Amino acid sequence: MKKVKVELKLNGKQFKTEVEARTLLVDLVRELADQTATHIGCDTSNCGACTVLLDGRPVKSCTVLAAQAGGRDVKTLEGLSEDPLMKKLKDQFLDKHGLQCGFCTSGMLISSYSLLRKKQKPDELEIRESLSGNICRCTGYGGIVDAIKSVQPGIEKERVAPAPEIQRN
Amino acid sequence: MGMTPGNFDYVRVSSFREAARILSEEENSKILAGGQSLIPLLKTRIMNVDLLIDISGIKGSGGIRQEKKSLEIGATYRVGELEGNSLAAESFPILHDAASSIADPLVRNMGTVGGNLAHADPGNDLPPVMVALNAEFTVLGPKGERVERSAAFFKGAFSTSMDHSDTLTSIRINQKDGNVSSAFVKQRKSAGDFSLASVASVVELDDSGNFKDSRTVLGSVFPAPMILEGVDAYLKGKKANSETIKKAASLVRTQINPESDFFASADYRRHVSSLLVNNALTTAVRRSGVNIA
Ligand SMILES: Cc1cc2nc3c(=O)[nH]c(=O)nc-3n(C[C@H](O)[C@H](O)[C@H](O)COP(=O)(O)OP(=O)(O)OC[C@H]3O[C@@H](n4cnc5c(N)ncnc54)[C@H](O)[C@@H]3O)c2cc1C
Ligand code: FES
Ligand code: FES
Repeated sequence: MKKVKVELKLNGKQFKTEVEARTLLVDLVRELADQTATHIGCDTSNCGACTVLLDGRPVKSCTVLAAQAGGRDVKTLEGLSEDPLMKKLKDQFLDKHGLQCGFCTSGMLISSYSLLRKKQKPDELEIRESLSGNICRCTGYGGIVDAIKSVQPGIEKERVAPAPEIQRN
Repeated sequence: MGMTPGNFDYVRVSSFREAARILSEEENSKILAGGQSLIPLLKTRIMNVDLLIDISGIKGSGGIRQEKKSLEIGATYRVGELEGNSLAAESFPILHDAASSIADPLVRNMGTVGGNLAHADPGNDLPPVMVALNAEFTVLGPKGERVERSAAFFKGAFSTSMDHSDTLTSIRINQKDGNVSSAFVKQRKSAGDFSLASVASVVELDDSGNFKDSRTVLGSVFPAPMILEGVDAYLKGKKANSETIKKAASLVRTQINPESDFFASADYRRHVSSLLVNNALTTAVRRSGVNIA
C-alpha cells in the first residue's frame, strides 16, 4: 500500500510526515508528534477523550484519518496552553472540581473552549448540549458545568469563514 | 495506538467527475466524506476497502445556496454548518431540528449532509427529513448526471438507488407556496445515540386553518423512511387543532407493524411512533402561527 504525505499545521507549526493512509489523526498527534494531552478512551467515536480542533472546530481525532487533516490546521490542548481563554477555563476546572482522574479533561476543555468562543455566556442547557460528545466517568458533570459557567467573558468571538457557494464541476 | 483499519490507499479528488471515474475503475473503492460512519466501520473491520476517495476537498462541494424558492445544499456541507445556518432554519426549521439532534457536536463537525443520506443507515435522521421535504438529489454516475426524488432514493437499510459508481453531489429543496411549516422530532435512549424512532413532518395550512396538504414520515423504525399515508389522508381538509392531531397520531398504532429487536419492542416502537407523530404535527402547526394547546 502506498504511503501518503501529510503536511499540516500542528499547534501553530508546520508538521510534515509520511504515513500509511490508514493512520488515524490521533496516532499522528500522539505517536508521531508526541502531543499526548489528546487521549484515546473508547476508540469508537463515543467518548470525546480524543477531541482536537480541526480548522478551529472540535472533532474526534480517533475518527479522522491523518490524511484527511492534510493541509489543515490542527490544535491540541498543548497548542492552547498560552491562550487566555483556555487559561481561564483551566483555572475554573481546578477551582470547581471539574476533574478527578483527568482522563476526559483535555477533551472537555477543548469542547468547552469552542463553546465559549461561539457564545460568551452560554446557559446550562447549551453547556450540556455542547458536551454531549464528551463522556466523563468521574465527576458526574456538575463540576464541569459549574467551571464553564464561571468563566468570565471578555474574549474574542469565534471567526469561522462562511461556507463557499456551490460551484458546478 | 488506536484501533487501526485494514490497509487501503487514499486519494483526494478535485472534482466529482474525477471521483466518478476512479469509482468505476477501482472495484473495491469507496467515497470518503466526513468519515463518521465509514471510519468506525473500517476500524472495526466490518468493512474493508482498497481505496478511499476523499471528496471533501472538492471546491464548492460543501456550499449552500439559498434562493427565493429553493435551497441547494452541497453533498459535503457539514451537518454542524447546517445546524448553525439561521437562514436555512428560517425557511426550513425541520433542517435545524434534525441537524442539531444528530449525534453530538463533535461528530456533526465532520459528518456531511451527503454522507448522512448516502449511507442510508436506518438510524440516520436526514433521510426521513429529506423525504418529508420531497427533496431532489443530484447523482453523478458514469453515464452522467441524474436527478432523483428522495422518496425513491431510499431502498432499505444501507441501500439506495445509487450503485457503486454513483456519487451524490447536491440536494435541492423546493420551497412550496402558501402557509407551510415543518418539524422533526426523535426518540433516543441517551445523548448521542441513534434514533429509536423519528418523525419528520411538513404541513401546509389553508386560510381557514385547515390542513391543505401534509407529508408525515417515520424514520428509524423500518429499514427505509416510511411515508405515513394514512395519517396524511386523515389530516387533509380537517381543522388544524389538537383533536385532529391526536386522532391522526392514534392511527399510527394500528397502521404500522414494526419488529421487536434488542433496542426496543414492537409495542414500544408503535407507541413512541404515535407520540412522535403527535409532537411533530403539533410543533409544525404551531410554527405556522396557529395557537394550539
Ligand atoms: C457516535 C456517533 C453517533 C451518531 N449518531 C447519529 C444520529 O443520531 N443521527 C444520524 O443521522 N447520524 C448519526 N451518526 C452518523 C453520522 O451522522 C455520519 O456522519 C453520517 O452517517 C455519515 O456522514 P459522513 O459524511 O461522515 O460519511 P462517511 O462516513 O464519509 O461515508 C458514509 C458512507 O456514505 C458514502 N458516501 C458519503 N458521501 C457520499 C456521496 N456524496 N455520494 C455517495 N456516497 C457517499 C461513503 O462511501 C460511505 O459508504 C452518528 C455517528 C457517530 C460516530
Ligand atoms: S477515543 Fe475518540 S471518541 Fe473516544
Ligand atoms: S475526570 Fe475522570 S473521566 Fe472525567
